[in-house]
Amino acid sequence: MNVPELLAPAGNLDKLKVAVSYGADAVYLGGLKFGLRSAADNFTEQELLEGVEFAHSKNSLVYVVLNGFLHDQDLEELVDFIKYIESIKVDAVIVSDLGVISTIKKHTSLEIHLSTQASCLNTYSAKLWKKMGVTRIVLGREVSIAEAAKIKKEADIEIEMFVHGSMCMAFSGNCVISNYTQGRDSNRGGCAHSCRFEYSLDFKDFDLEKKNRYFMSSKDLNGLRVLEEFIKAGIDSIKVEGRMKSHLYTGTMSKVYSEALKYYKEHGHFLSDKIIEWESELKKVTHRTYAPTNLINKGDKSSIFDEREISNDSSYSVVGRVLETIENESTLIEVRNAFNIGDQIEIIPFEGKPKVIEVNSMRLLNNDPIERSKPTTIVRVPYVKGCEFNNLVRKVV
Amino acid sequence: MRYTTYAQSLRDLSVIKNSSVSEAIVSFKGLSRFSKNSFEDFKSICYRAKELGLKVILEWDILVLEEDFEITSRLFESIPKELYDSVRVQDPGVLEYVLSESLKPIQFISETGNHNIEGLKAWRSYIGDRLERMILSIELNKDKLKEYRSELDCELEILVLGKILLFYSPRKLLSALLPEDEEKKFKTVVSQDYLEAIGESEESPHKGFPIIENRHGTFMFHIKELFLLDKFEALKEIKLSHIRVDLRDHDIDFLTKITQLDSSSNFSNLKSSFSCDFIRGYFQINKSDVLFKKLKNYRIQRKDNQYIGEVLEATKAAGHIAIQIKSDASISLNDEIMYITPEGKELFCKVHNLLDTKLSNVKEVTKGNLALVNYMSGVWVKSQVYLSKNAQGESSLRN
Repeated sequence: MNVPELLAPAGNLDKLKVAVSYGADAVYLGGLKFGLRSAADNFTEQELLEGVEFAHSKNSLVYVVLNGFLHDQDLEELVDFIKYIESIKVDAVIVSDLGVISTIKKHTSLEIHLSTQASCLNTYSAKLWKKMGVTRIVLGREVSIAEAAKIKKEADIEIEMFVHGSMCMAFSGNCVISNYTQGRDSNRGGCAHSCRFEYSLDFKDFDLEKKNRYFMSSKDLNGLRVLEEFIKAGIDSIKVEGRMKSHLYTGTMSKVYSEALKYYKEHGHFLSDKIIEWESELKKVTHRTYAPTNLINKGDKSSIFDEREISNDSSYSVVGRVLETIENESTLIEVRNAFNIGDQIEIIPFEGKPKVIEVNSMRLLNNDPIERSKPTTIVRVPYVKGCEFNNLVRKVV
Repeated sequence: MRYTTYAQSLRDLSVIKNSSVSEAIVSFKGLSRFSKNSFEDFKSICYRAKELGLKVILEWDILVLEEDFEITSRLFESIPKELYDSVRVQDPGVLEYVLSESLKPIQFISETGNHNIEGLKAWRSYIGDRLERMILSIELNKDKLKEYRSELDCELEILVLGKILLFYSPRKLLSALLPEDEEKKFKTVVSQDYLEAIGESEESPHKGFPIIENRHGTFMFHIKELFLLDKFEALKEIKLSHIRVDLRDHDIDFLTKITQLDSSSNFSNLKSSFSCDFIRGYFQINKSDVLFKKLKNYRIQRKDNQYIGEVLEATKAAGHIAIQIKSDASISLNDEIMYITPEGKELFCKVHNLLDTKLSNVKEVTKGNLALVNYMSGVWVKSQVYLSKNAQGESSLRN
């Protein structure tokens, strides 16, 4: 049985390298325009070239998102960009607007994937988009795995589904709250996440106490426990949401899901204690309460995240990443959050279990000894064999 | 420019007829987002509309999940064909279904996510002769509407009065908040399959969003409704075939007044007779992308010309700045470099100290490595580094 491709988010070039190094089969990323994440770092043309070269050198694929609902003036600027990304051998583009599809077909031979933003929810829709030249469909996040299997079989097209990450509460592409309340087009990259706001509700026919609720906020998707269902359904690609999220998130997702898929390839099942380890790893990154919303059963009231704060396993915090190892001498860490002498830190290798070390000495880059590291500095800790550039580092609290 | 509107009852039809409007949009709960009509009520309205000589447009505007498609399409099939003249759809799957399983003319709702002529022409071409009308997005401004009028050879319609839908979710978000006994009551009392609330948030400058939940999910609307009738001349000039007034939450008798409007009418009086506030939306201009520039700091965005890398550490005490070399342009002793700080300052400096991470003096540090150069005040982490003049004094930065 074929296992699906693992498709990870790459918010910038560093994160692309992290995702690929930790095992993503493919990454999706945005250029400076035309996507849905205007606030993400995104990629300049040179960074795109380097990203594609890096990913291809590791046998990973690169998909570029062009999934905004574009206006005429955007389309005029799009032509040069799509010609460029075709020239650097991007593997596919992810699109939600028929005008963009037409423009791409007119000017390039790029492979086209339909974005979840187009809310393709049924077989007839998949058949229509296939006729429009789309080769893969990222189904709407409301579609269950069972429905996806049927759509794939009947429309005979590649299917991609979200497996992990934040969820839109609305049908994707069908929310314009930001457009009218913040003056920012949510479907061209300006989403203000108004669904995460706290609202007070006054019911018309029910005399209920007026209470503030996060009634439009969705729990985060976590499909780890139903990976086998994706495989049985023949889903071609499983996607992790989160181009705006941290290096640690990108790396952890890529590592956990790629290890799980690899395990299945080797054993043909997930009957292993490893699933508990993987779940525990997923809890170590910041997230809203997890749920497998819509993948098996449709999202009901238990899928609403009625809280403000997002959380993680509080026994871990992010420290930073490995910048360099100097053999038998030191490991250089770029510090994002402070840690102290005596702390236990974990360096997460690209494959295998975290390397746990107790920090018994720490020096600045100029070799001055210190007791406590500071964020936005680089420190030397004792040499740890097997560490590599971009390995993520976290602290056991 | 003709009017179109919704008919929810037999009385609505009389008003529509008396207002010289020649068509009515009709539907029922099973296919429509907002209709409150049962299938039987719907059929009665259609029969009566036909008797009155009105064109009947069947609206099937819900988005349909795969598991619901069969039952929904069976509902559609069960409608006697003689009851309606055209079908109005939004879901591309529903469009495809109607194209293949029905012979009725199609009115395609392109209100969501269709804001360029290239896409609209592609829909026009795909639907072909079966396309009767396109319902255009209210996010298109008047100039775009005029331009599209000349490029699309089918009927075109926009909403000119009515609620602005902001959010459509299949999840049941209001009933989820009811205490268990109230939820049970809501679910079991058939007449109450339409739950309504007003929402407001401290985090939004707007207060009083109307929210409804029904069998199709949850819908949130703008606090104000769209009103473009006072742009009567501009609308006429655009020459759209149809303008739509949505009076489903107002007195249908307004239709009579509206259809008598002309350029000299007193629109303020008409406006003030409604119980809601109005906006013009994007009819004049759509600048919903201008704020994007403020969403991130473009100063720390890498520019490819003569780019070297990024500052990861700057410490006065240690007397160095650590630069991660990210491009093929290595850094050499005596190079002149330029920092662009996160605040946008451009600071120039000559590299007179260059160390590697073993703290050895070196002449060059190449891509992928860390270079430690002499400290310069004002340079912070995330500053971007460019080659200004190389060691031979040749200027590198383009103006």
